[in-house]
This record gives sequence, C-alpha cells and structure tokens, in this order.
Amino acid sequence: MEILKHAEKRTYGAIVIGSGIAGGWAAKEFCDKGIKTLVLERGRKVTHNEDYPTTLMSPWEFEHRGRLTQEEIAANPVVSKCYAFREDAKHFMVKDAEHPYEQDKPFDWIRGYQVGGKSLLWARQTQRWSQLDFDGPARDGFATPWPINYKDIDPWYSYVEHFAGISGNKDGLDSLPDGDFLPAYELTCVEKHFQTEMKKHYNDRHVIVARCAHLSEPREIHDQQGRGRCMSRNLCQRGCPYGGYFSSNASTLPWAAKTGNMTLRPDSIVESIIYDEQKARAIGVRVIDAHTNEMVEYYAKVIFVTAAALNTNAILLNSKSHRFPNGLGNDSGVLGKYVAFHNYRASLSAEYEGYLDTKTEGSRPTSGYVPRFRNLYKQETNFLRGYAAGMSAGRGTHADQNSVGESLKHSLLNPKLNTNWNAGSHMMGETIPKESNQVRLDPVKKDAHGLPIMHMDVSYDDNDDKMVQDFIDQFSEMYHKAGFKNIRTRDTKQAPGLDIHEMGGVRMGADPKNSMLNKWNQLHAVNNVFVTDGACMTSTSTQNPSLTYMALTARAVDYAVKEMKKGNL
Amino acid sequence: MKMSSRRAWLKGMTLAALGTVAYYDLSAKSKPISLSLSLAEEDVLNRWIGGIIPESSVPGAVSLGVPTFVKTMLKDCYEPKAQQTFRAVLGQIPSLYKGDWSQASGPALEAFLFELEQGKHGVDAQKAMSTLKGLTIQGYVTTEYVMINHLNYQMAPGFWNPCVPVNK
Repeated sequence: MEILKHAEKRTYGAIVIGSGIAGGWAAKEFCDKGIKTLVLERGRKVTHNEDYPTTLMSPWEFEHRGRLTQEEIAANPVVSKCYAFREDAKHFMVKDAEHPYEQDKPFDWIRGYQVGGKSLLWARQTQRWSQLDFDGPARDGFATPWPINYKDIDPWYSYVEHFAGISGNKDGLDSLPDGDFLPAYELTCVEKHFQTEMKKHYNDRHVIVARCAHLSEPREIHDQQGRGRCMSRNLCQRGCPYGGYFSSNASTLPWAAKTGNMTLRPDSIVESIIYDEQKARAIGVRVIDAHTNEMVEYYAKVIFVTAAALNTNAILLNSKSHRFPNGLGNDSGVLGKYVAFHNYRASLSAEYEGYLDTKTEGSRPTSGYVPRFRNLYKQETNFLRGYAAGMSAGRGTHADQNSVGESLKHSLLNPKLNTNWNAGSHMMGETIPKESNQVRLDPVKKDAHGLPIMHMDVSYDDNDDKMVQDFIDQFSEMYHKAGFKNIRTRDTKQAPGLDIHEMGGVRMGADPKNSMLNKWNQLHAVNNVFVTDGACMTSTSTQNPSLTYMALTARAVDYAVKEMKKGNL
Repeated sequence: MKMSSRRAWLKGMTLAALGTVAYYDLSAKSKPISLSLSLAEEDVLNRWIGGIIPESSVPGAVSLGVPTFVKTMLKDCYEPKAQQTFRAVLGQIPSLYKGDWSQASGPALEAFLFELEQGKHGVDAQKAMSTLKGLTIQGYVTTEYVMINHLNYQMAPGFWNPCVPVNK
C-alpha cells in the first residue's frame, strides 16, 4: 500500500525530458492544456534573471576581459572551440570532463546542461522551412521522405512565432515563408547595396534581414510573460535581464509554472524509459539524481523526449527491454543512424569602398541573410541540396596602434571609423543524412552516473566538400559583382558538431521499416512516446532549426492531448 | 543607490542565491595577483607599461590599474614558456636601456620602446614588447574610466540606426 502511494505521488499526466527549446514548449503546451506535467532536467536550476550572474557585468569587471585561461583551454579542448565558451557564459556550458564521449571521428559536442538548456545560448535565428525543404529527401532520393508537408506545420509556426516573438519582414519568398512577425531590424546601407546588386545580377539570390527571436516591439502576449523590448546588448549568452530574446527560462517555463501544473525537477538524469511488456506501452522513466546517483522512477501516460538531439538518441538506445532489445521503438534498426548537421565551414570577408560618408549607430541583434538558392527547384549542380548564408556589413572603428606613449594614448582614446565598410558571410549548408553517420552506446565504458558513454561516428563527405567550394566560388562572384574588394575566403574544416545543429538518429518517416517516428513525432512502435527535438529531423535543410522544433513540439502536444482525451494514450 | 554599490548588491544577491554551490567565481577580482614578481621587477614592469601609455591630463595605464590586469593575464592566459621569456626580458630591461632606467621617461623611453618593437634588442625582447603592448592596450581601453569617459560605452544601446551620416 505504501509503495502504491509513493508511486501515485510520482505519477503525472505527462513527463517531459529536457527543458531546452523543445522541452520548454512541451511543458508550456501540456500545462496550458491542464495536464499535470513533470519536467526533468539533467542540469542545475537556472531561474530567469536570478541565475544570470554575469548579465550586468561590464567589460572591466571580467578578470580576463572575456578570455579563457590556459588551464581552461587545456582542460576543455572541445568546448573551448565554441564561440560562446568565454568568461561571461562558460558557466552555461558543459565542460569536457563533465560528460565524456568517444570521438570515433572528430566531433565537437557542445552542450548546455541546466534548466533552459541551450535556449539560453542559441543564436536566436528563426527562419521557417518551406515545402521545398520538406520535399528534399523525396525529390533527391536520400534519407527517407518527410511524413509532413509545409501546410502541416505552417499554423504551428505562426502559433510559436506569436508567443516567442519573432522579428522580421514579410519578404514573399518561396524558399523562406513569411510568418507572424514583429517589426524587422533594418539592413545597413551596404547590405542594401548588396541586396540591390544581387537583384540586378541574379534572379534567384535574395538578401533579407534574418528573422530572429527578439522583441523588437513587444506585444501584449510578451507583457504577460514579463518580457521587455530587446535593448540590443548583444550579450544574449549571459541570459537577458529583459527577456528580450526567447529562451525557455524567460518564456515557456515561467509560463508553464504559472499554471500550477508543472513540476520542474533539475539535477535529474534520465537513465531510460520504462517499457511495460504487458501493457505494450511506456509507463515512465528511471531517473538518476545527478548528485547522489540515487535512482527514482516517475510515471506518466505520455512521455516527450526532448533531451537535445544526441542525448535523446542515448536515452532511447539505453531503454532496452525484451520487446526492444536494441533501444525503445527501434524495430527498424535506424535508431542512432542518419545523424546529420549543418556545414558551417566556409566564410568570406571583404571591404566596400562606397557609402564612406555613412556609418551605423547603436546595434541590432541579427544580420543579413541569403536564403538557399542552389538546387532550389531542380538539381543544377554537382552536389545535392545547398546552403543559406549570413551576410552583414558594418563600419567598424579602429585605433592606430603603431606608436607608443602619448601618441598611442591619443589614438586609443579617439578611435577612427574604418576607411572602408567591412562585409562578411558564412555558409549554412545542408548535409545529407547517411546510415554511416551514427551514434551508439559503448557496451562497456560508463560515465560517472553509470550510464554508457556515447560514440560519435559522424563526418563530412564529398557532397559537403563540393558544397564548400561552391559557396566560396558563388559568394566570391557575388561579392565581386557587388563591387566588394579584398575578398578573402576561408574553410575552417571545423569538425561536425561545432555548428551545434546536430540532428537526426530518431527520424520521422511514413514507413516504420525505415524510420522511428510517425507524422505526429510519435514512436511508430510505442505510441505514448514522442520525440520533438533535433533527433526527429529526417533531413536538415539549411535553416537554423530551433523554430522548427518549437512548432513540431506544439503540434505534437496538441495531438497527444487530443489522443489522451480520446483514451488512445 | 550608486551604480557601483548596486552592482555589488546584485552580485551579493546572486551569490547568496547560489549558496555554497559555486559554479562560478565572481570574487575572482579580489583574489591576490601572483605572477610573483619581486618589488624590483614590479617597478620595471610599471615603468615599462607607463612608457607605453603614460600619464598626462588623462590618466595613463599605471594609474588606471593596468599592471594588475597585465600580471593576471600573463599568469593565467599565456603558456609557461611565454611567461618565462617575458620574465627573462623583464629582468634585462634596465640594462638594455641606455641610461638610468629608474629615471626613464618621455621621448627617451619612447625611443627605447620603439627599438624593442623593431627587434633591435633581440627576438625575445621584441616578443615581450609585443605581448606587453597588446595587453596594456587591451587593459587600458577596457578600464571603466576609458570606456565611460572616452569610448562612449553603452551596455544596452536600445537603438539601431543602420545608415547615418558620418558627421552627424
């Protein structure tokens, strides 16, 4: 009887694993719909504003002015490669020793283990997918066809955009559908010049201002969340004191908490999902306390796995039972396979000698954006798919540092505008999911919590190399046509993972024989388990993926609750 | 409440909220600096830094506390080999200077620093000068005094003008 009572206490309507972008949305949607929801987060508690220790610090207050120490770099060869792992935000990122993994091939796994996950750290770029993106695998014969179309997700994009607050223009492009936008930030005059030149020289290359999750002009729904206008600090990775950008911490989690339906349990590492062979369904999860390693079980009618793409793979792979000896729902054998990412290797920079009587003032939290134009409507190149690109141009300042003494001091105190405008672009390339790009669990090695170490076996291929070259060639040509000078190109050859857009392994698809999830993000074989984070992605296209995870999550919760009410879950 | 005391209050509140679980160390600023320089070496370093960005009607690098920053950076952010090289050059500076180093200032000191930059006193001295100049500049332009009074630092500009005339 006592045992039963304890079990009842640990029983919820829904369990959400992870509190990042997708988990936060699952929590909000379940709680709004009246479902008692347990949100499990493996990291520590981070409450909006209370736990942003560096957010109000000025440059002079940082002992190393932002830099990492030699000791930190030596101890963190992986995460120290990440642009955000600096003195002001390193406390929001997983140190290498905290959660080791095996790189069968070079793979930089960048993680944020805390309430809010990487939603505190993301780049806040929010471009919609179009039908052209969903058509990719079927048209070009890779991966497996998406089981959904743009029209299935369109209303859910609008739904999450309205709540999150997305700034942007209605650009009227097939490749990047418009949404429910707050006012856009403007392009600089040299970005507008580039836009005009591209229109003049090409009929397929558009330059727009990138849509971003910043409150350029808050609406009533944002006031209700206690969020204010973005003040263009560009210190987002520290956590925003105004809630000016969307994060789980500033938005979905406090909203869910206000309903009284959410129980948030930090420091809770999910070991596995419990599958009941008799009931032929998942009944709960086993959780390891991050501090004591004590194991506790929690139960629910429905489970959302949104632990971030690769950790979602790990949880399912580790959820073994008589029915599923190779991981939960893994009848097809594709679990952990067809992992993909975004190719961010190439970039270029240049100068423009025009508009020299102008400059910018203040700052903005976004940049220009060139949506994908390669192979958009049909195959045109010697590689599959294509790339989008960032594009920005600004007029920086500099101080002549050639002298010493008073002359140097005068120069430092009176910086001058750069002679020319500086322009730059970076590629965001689609990679092709392949069976050989996969993650798996080590059969022997365990981490500090007794969980199997992950192996990452993910790499670029010939298609990626050709795409890098094409980006460099095309953008060099485009910059040249725009009259830009001193064009410099770069291929960093950075390892997969550093893009922090790892996806797949638990892909969606219509056919249970070669996919894990159906069109509702529901495991084909276990209908009360849903995956709506990056792990569900059948292909990657080129857009920053978080907005799509938000929309897929809200859509899947809506479906799950309807099914619960019908008694189907 | 003054800005500085408000900041201290906020820090205090944050630390109090964290309790004993210290994920980050905001007290780092008050930690003792230990490149373990002798007093004589400290003097040389200060004069060297003071030559790079001297005092005048506008405070220079030394009075704005840049030597502390330089030592912290050398200790924490440079390879031991670079630290050793720097330390060795630091010891040689007074003898490399033609004249009484303890009185070095003005154009004579500037001329000497220029020679160091040009490599006229050897590769190690050139590297040390480059390191020190870089750190002195970085430390100086990121002091509260310079950022607020000279560089128009705004943490939260809250506006964006994408294209304005230069002389506006």
